[in-house]
Amino acid sequence: MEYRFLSAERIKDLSTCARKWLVALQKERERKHHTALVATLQILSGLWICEKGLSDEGALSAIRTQIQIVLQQIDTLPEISAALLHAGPLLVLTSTGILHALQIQNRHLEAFASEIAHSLQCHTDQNDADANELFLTRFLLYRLHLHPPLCAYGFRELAAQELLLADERILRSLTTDIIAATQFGQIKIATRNQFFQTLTALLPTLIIDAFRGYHLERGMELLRCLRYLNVAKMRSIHTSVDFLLAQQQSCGKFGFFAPDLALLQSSATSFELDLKIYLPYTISFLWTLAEIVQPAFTLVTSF
Amino acid sequence: MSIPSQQLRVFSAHALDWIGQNLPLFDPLIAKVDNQPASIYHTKAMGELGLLCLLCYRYREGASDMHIERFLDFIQRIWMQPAYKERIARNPAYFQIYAMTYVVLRQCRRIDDTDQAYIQRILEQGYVMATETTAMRLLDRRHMLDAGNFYHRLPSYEDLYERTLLAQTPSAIYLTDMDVYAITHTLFYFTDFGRYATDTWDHLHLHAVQWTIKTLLGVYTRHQHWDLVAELLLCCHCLHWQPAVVFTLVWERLMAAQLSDGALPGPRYSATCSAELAEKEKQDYCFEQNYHTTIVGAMAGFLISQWLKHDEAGAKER
Repeated sequence: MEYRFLSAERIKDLSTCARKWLVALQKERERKHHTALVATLQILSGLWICEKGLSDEGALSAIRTQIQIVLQQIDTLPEISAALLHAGPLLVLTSTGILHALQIQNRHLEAFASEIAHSLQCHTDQNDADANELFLTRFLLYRLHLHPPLCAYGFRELAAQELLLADERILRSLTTDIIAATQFGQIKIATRNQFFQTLTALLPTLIIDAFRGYHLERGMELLRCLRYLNVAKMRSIHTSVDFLLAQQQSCGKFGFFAPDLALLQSSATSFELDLKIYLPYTISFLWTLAEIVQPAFTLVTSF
Repeated sequence: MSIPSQQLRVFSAHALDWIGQNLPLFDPLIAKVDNQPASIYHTKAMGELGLLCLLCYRYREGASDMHIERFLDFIQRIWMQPAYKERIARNPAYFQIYAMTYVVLRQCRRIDDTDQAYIQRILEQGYVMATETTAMRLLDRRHMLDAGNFYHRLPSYEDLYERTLLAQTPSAIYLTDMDVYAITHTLFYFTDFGRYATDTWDHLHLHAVQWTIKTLLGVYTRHQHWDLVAELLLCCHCLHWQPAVVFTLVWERLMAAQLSDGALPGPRYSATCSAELAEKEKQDYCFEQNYHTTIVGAMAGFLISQWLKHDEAGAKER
């Protein structure tokens, strides 16, 4: 399947612009002595997607600089275990993978990953849903050689009506199931299966509906699922990518959330909003765009 | 698997029952003369009822539908009253909705062409054709004038279509409800409700339009906006096309949404509000909120059942 409808120039522009914003945000954090590890690792992931997923220059210069910042911060943080727990296993394992790709290891990150691997070995999945929920963690551990090869995952086949009217909870479980069953697009689903046909017929509606309501995260998750299912719904993809590109601000970050934030009457500064709102969304945008416009790139297998 | 035509006929007949029960409320003469907005609202409702009759009349088989004949009697009775007919000359700003009554009755062979010259004269005064409107409304105007055999100098359907929102196939993500109404009506008038094929379109454009209709069908079903769902289903008829999975699924939802009295709830209808009203207010409220959705639902049910019935007969022969 070929999604290359964006020019290399356009991809480079959006990536360069986003990378500049991430680097500037990191500098602003340093100036303000902001040391939350979660933001440092998020910026690392964002830069990885920019330099590895969206750019083919291979320089990885901003990544290398950010890795030094990560290592320095980990060594100087007083409560490293708490900081890693706060960042969450998925972000920490992804960051560990990025470091590995550059032949770098850090004892704290390695110990944390081993600890998660150990606790999962002791865990017995209660049902398929439970197994699918933990799939991503297991998959990342597998990529870090801390978990045996993964078994085949199934997904709950929803009735067509249930799928069309799916609420937030059902959509979340659906995306989890698709990710697990396809292992991020590595495993092909039987296309003659009736549910597969229903799913691929209705996914575009669910994606467009999410974007119409500015539920960006939901729309992007579903859009990535379309790619993992290897479905060539070109018009849906084209429409969605055009929309996502229009959400990049001139400074490089993604999303126009000021109207929502005004309703919340938040007293947060623009710096705080950049960290709490725009940074996670920008990572998600970059992740989605990279996986859609660069078919060879899949974030979790890129390291 | 498609939906059986019989189910759609039952659905449509039930909607016609509701219209029949509420027929007096379609009368534009019940509004006081000095209350123009109310009069226009009822005239518009009667015009839409007339369009439903016209579409059903075109596809009648043997004896006409009892409901449709009754509705046509009702419309004809109103048209025959000078207090209604003269409104075209008195108020040409609403030429189209008044003249529609004449067009419907002519097409359904209820009246002769005695009033043709009278209406043509109003048209030739120039005001009606000079009024500014959107490309979709120009298609609407041309469709009505052609159906009534009136002389005009409007551009061709293809030229008018090129100026519409649908012709540009804008992103479905940004389309407002009003935009979607513009899209559905463009297809209604451009194809004369499915009478003419879209064979002047290239394959890519047809595919883009179908994608838009299919996606919006799913979106508006999720939001239970039955008015646009029924209009979008009617668009499938106009395109002679059934989107896989979505078509049957959406029909099932629309049929499930039909109220026990046969009405289809409009976008602003609230069962809670309705329950709190006294009998007369309740009837007026339900009519105001639901008449358009019910008429469009009846049209979609009737036209698509005819089409499916034809397909079913073909399948049996094979």
